[in-house]
Amino acid sequence: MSAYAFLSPWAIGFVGLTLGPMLASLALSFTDYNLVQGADTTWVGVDNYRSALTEDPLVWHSLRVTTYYAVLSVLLELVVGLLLALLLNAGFRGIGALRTVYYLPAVVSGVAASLLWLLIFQPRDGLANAALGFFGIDGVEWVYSTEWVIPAFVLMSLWGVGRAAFIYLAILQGIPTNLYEAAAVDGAGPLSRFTAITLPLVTPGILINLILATIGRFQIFTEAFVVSQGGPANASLFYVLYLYRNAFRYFRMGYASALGWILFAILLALTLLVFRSSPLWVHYEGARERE
Amino acid sequence: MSRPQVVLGPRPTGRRARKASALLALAGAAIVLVPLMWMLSTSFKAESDVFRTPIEWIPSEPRPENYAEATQLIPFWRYFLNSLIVVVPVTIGAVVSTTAAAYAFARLRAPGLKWLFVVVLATIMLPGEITLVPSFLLFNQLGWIGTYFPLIVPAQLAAGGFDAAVSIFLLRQFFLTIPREHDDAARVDGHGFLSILVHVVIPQSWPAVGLVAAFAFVHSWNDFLQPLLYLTDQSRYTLPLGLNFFKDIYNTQWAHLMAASVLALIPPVLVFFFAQRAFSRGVVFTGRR
Amino acid sequence: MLTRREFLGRSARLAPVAASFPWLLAACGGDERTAQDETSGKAQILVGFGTGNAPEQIPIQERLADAFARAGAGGSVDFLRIPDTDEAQRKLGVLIAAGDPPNMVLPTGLYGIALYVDQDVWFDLSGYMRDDDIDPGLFEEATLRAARVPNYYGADSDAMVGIPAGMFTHVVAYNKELFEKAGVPEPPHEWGTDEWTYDRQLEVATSLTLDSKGRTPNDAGFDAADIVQFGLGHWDTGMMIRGFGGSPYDPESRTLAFDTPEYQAGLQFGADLINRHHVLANDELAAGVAAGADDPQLAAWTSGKLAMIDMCACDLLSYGSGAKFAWDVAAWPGGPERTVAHLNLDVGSIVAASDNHDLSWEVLKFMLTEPDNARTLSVQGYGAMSPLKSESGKFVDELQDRFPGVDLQVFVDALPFSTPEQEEWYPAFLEVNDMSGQFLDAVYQGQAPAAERLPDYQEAAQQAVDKWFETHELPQD
Repeated sequence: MSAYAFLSPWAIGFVGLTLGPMLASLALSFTDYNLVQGADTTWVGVDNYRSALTEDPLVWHSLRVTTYYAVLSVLLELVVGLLLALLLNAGFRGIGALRTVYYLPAVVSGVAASLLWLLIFQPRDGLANAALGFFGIDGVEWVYSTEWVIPAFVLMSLWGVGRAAFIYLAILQGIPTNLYEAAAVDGAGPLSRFTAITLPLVTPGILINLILATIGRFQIFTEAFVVSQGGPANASLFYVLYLYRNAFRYFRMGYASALGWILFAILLALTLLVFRSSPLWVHYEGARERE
Repeated sequence: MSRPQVVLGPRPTGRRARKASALLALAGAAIVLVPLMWMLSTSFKAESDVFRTPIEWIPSEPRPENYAEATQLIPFWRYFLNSLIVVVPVTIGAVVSTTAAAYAFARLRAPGLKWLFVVVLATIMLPGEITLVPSFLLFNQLGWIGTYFPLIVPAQLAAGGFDAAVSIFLLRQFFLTIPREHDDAARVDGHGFLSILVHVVIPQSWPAVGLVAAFAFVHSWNDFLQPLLYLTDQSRYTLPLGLNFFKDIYNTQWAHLMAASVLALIPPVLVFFFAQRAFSRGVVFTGRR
Repeated sequence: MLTRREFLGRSARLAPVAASFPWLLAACGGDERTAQDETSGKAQILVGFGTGNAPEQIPIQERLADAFARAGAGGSVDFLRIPDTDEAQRKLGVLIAAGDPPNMVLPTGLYGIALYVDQDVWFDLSGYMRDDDIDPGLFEEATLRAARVPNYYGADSDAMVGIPAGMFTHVVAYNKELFEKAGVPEPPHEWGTDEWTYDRQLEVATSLTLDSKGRTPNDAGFDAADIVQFGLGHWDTGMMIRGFGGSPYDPESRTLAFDTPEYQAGLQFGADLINRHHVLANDELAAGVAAGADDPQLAAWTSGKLAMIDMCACDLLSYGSGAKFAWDVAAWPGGPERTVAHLNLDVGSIVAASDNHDLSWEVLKFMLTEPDNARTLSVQGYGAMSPLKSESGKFVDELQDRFPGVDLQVFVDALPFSTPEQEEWYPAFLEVNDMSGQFLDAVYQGQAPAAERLPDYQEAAQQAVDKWFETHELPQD
């Protein structure tokens, strides 16, 4: 069937370029492979996993830090993203330019972006505290404080909410306008139009964003590397940052591989959970009304 | 008999509501723009003024020379061209391969195909840091280190990491919302599998396709890690690598770096601006001709 | 005019062609680099461990590479440039793992050496030095000590993991205008004077620390939350520890020495400068007086908010050129035990896993031991002082034009009082370094005394060291 031919590029790519390295890293996770002294590698079985989960306090610490960050940023992104998408579909003039503005954060290079955020989060003269001051709230120490460093990263992630909003927007575009007209005729106000029509029909978008955001946020690395290096006092030591240290600073590649597969297991479990629950709340067909 | 119908999703009905939406969106956009305004402002300052207090949003003595200098201090246009050489094939390949795969995932009725789709997602659940070395060794065996192959080939095979998975996911969700009856109707009219994809499904999915193209372009344009890992000859470096040459542990030239970064922003911004028009075009539903 | 359907139809047919186009393009971009080949005589230098990739530095290195090829030792040099230090370190690891490492790393700071010295990444050059009759005495003593890694190879060993390529001494840079305004005499330019002690410096700094109402910490009503000018900035409290006689590691007993009275006293003195006396601006406080994202200290200094700073010769380009006020440099004050300042050192090293060490040695010899080449590379290539005894003084002449009012001789006079110990390797170097923040951040922030935290740090760190000895051996064992 030609349908299977359509899958073949992906299949070739998966087997050839993706599966191989994944299996290799799985194998490495059962060894004590050192990146620069590979000749001395020996098999250690599940020792890396055991040691990571029972002997290394930084593993659990970084998981806690990462979960805290991920929960906050995913929730915010889901909600704010949808609101933004509704705004960006409003059809006013100049909407094209505005949409492009919201996309800009995804386009700015990582180096420049992280620096810009450091500037904003400066305790004294930074814009974040200035904005708080405008509402009469005292400023905080942001990335220099163990309490506020994670909220700072959450705000940084919110800067890029455009990406999630555009996914919502793509879904929103598929909802027929006449559904709303019919509902208005029936006397439904804007709020009930939203909850009865928009919300159910945008659930495929919520599903996508929820899964992708979860997978993505749990793996936050670059921003932490540039902005806080895991500090202060390990308050922003994200899981992948700790993994990177083990892999490319201490060269403990076997151990780092085990850490990676532990994260994999966690994310797989979470994703399957979400998928399992999806028939309960995601609507697919019936998105189109026909005469 | 159904007529072609342009579908545009929920829109506020009154002019007041539209105005309110515009204002809110504008306010948010202003906030989003602030870091970028600083970037623009810095690009016109003299190096020693970059971190002066108090912050000067509009430099008192703007130096547009920074832009010319930035393109001369490093071989900027060479890097620009190299980036294009990589990004264009990647974007085309990513769109084609992910659309094909997503369509198959959405339409094929094979048992267990749903689980295969979970496999697509699974590939991005493993942090790239630990597959980096095996991937490097693989490409080394193939003799591809130092070439553009490791940067371009994965996209042709829908193996572009996070973005490819996002694209397949998004497109599949989109395709799922298009009822199979449309396909059947088209098949009755004599269309084959490919033809249905091209003539029936994609026209109803422009927003998603446009988005996929934009994501692929931008991700590839900004990619720093892959070129850094796989390229060896400085004359083949791409723009993100090139920009980093302004950074030095003792003395980073921020103003020039910002100027070059602003220039580097232009292609992805343009691409996105044109791609997002797919959203305004809306989704065209054609039941029967 | 194509209808939309026709356009789509054609695109669909063209797509596979378009998709195969990149394969052809990528094939054209192919690179014939093969694995290192003795006969082709190409040596690759990895540049990116800190500095070396700035636009003005690259031509100097290229010129020297050309000169080497023409000198006819039989080989040529090319550069692998990684414009990011962490990525350069990562790439080195990956390339070694892939069996295709660069031949040399030049320059690399001592810290970069320490990262990997116990992973056998660097090749011991002492054999080549002996065979070619190169007298290590060509180089300044302090730089030799650093390149010998005494904690690893032993205090009597003549092993060398790198040839000194550039050195940077530290001095105190001060804002003359602030001193004049406060009527305080400028610090001495002469090293090792009796009166210029840590305590004396604290007094001077106190007179130069002002809140928004012009009060110093000695005045009644001084508001520590509202400081607009600091007496001290851009500091490494680690130097104070050495001034008090402390050091992190004792190779004889193979124990860390964090929990000693000297270490404690030095650390506490430094922390007190920030939290008790309020004269020293850490990064956070500096960010409070000047908005600088990447380097708040630089912002504070160039804005004239810091009276005295620790200035490395490497800071001349940034801190030096950025200062728009009259400034000069002075000697470091002396601690109770020693008058000491940091020495930063760059070296050139051979990657042990690479092949053709002979060629690599010829390159290093050419670039780093021939006086003219070495001096050009250090000063113009890396903005450093030349570590060769014969050339180190020329630093003053080379740079005096750029910094007319500044007594650059102070940098040279610093040498007898300079030590590279702050970057010296000790067992479990990375782990112990990485865990220091966890224990010591509180001390630096004034939330806990050093006496309370250091024993915990000592215990946790010593465990790491002991664990290191379980799985590693020193070469001298």
